[in-house]
Amino acid sequence: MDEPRVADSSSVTSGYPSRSRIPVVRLVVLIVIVAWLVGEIRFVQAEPTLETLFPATGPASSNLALFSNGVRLRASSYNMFDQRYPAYAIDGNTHLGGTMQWESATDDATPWIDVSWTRPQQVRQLTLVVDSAQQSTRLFSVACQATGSDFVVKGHGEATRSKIVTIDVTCDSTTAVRLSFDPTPMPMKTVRITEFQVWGT
Amino acid sequence: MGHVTRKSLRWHLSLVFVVALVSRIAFFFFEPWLHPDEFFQYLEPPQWHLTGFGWKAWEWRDGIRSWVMPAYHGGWLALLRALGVRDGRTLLAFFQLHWAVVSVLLPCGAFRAGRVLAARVEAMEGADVSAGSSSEIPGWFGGLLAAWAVALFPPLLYFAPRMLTEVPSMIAIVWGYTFALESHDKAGKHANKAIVVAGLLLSFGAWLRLPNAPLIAFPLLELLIRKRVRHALFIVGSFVLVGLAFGMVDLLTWGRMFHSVLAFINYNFIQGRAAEHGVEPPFFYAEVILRHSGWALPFALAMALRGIKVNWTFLAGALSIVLYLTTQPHKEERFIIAIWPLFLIASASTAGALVFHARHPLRARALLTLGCVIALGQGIFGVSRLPRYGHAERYRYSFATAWTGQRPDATGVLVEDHYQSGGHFCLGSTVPLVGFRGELLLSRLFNYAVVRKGSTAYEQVEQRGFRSVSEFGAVVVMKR
Repeated sequence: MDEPRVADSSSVTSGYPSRSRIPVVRLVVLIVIVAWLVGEIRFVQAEPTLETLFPATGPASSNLALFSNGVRLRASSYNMFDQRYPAYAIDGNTHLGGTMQWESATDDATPWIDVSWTRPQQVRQLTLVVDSAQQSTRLFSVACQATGSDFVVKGHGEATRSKIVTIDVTCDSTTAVRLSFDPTPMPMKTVRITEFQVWGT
Repeated sequence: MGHVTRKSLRWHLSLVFVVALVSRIAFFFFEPWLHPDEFFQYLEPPQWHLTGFGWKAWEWRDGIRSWVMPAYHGGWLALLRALGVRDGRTLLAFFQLHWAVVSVLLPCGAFRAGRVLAARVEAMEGADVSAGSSSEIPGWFGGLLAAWAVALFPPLLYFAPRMLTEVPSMIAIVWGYTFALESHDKAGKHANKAIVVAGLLLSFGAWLRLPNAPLIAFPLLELLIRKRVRHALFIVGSFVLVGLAFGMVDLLTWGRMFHSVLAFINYNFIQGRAAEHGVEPPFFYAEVILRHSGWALPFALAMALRGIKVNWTFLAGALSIVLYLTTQPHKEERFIIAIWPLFLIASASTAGALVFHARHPLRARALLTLGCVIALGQGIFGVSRLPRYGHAERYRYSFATAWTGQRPDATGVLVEDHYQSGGHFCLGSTVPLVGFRGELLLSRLFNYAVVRKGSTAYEQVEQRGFRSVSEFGAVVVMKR
């Protein structure tokens, strides 16, 4: 290649508007970059809790955990690929399997799920319907939380597939009930719950 | 064609900038083609990272995707959510307009590259382009023509508001080519700086979208031909450095250096599984090029080849992408959009230079005007015949999903075609969003359904007591 050197007129090759407008353009670009950086820091630091606040959409049910009561549901994880949402565990269906159950994520060693209410409840019993596809028996604990306090363990159980597990507990003035599953040895087995019911007085 | 002052040239460039911006924003309102990958590959991942809820496509299960682009979107998403913007439709518009505005960088780069190329063509034609000559701004007309071509070429407008890696990769590579080209006319530290910037941009474009990686070869080759080995090593070093950065992102997100790169290569090239997503005939890309260029192609090609001695890197880059992607069974038009700015810069800059020094200026200008009109008309015609892939319906599905997500009484949403729904990104809520299956109607959790009027799903939900509460074209939101 033997082209003559082209005169360097970089002041015109900037592709920008006139010089007097360049500081304004640079200021706008700087603001945009800073705004994005602020957002990016928030994004990188995000550690969300899987939480759904259900509106009260039906008459009050004796099953305090039912979604239509207007509960807040939280979980440690769920199977995002197969869309096995935590909400399936409180949808009121105890006989449906397939994909309509809560399944924890494969990398969640200690899955948990809890429901909470705005008004304290008197909780006396829990029922857990374990899906037929759950691969191993998982030990779990039941904990209750009173207003302004931490969770306190009130009972234990074994979640075995295709079983209905009932646990009697005494939790007065409870605003939340949590099931926490113990870790299993590798390979990781997920928790699969068809229904999680909470009964009160 | 006379001389131009710097001031008037700046006015011309400002006009190009404004027209490019307005036309891209205007195109947004025509609701251009919407690919589900825009949601599920690059918007849904940041959504689930921020909220915990979303749908993981298979690419995210197998680790084929890098988090670089989703994390970039995530910064904006986090900022907008902090400002209270949760409506899916508003968020979608933001991201589309964002990329439409960013793509205005293309005509800016086209001017700079086109000016250098045109000046070289002018020099070959015998014009005096040395410093201090009476040709005050050599190549200005070719550069301006290249800028207009890239600003208004309809396929580039059509693909501007895209949330896909094709767009930023294309912009980075075009600017990388521009800086590499300009470095040949600089010396010392100015040349070094231009090459470093070129290397970083080319490398970023290549790593962001691996199928575009071969484009980095031609500026590198030109440096070697010009015996600028040190600068060539700068480019190689930049490629390694940027690659390490991408590798680190994989290490932090997937637990292994270059995990997404290796998984991508394994899936697409070693296992050849890209063919599972559709196989197109060998001349698919030729048909695409002809559709968008038609009768203007011989003219544009003739111009580009006339200046091949100076623009060969641009032409070779464009051709190489088409040739090697033709060997891959799975083809989509968006895979080759980077060829357009490279080809247009090569062609328009030469045309501008030749017209500037034509022996018969009036005839030359008339021919050029005719060529531009044909090219523009062909481009519009080509875009109007782009396969629709039902994209208008996708907007209706995603708008309907966004509307449903804002309902305070929603406890679960069924959507007839989950792939077109826009996912949790559009829903903006943490209630379940699931693709429609009849058995799911047994669960009272799902009190909203987004279905197409008259479809089987529509009939099923109607039988279960759902009634229409809102309509978006042929897509209806039903509630029980």
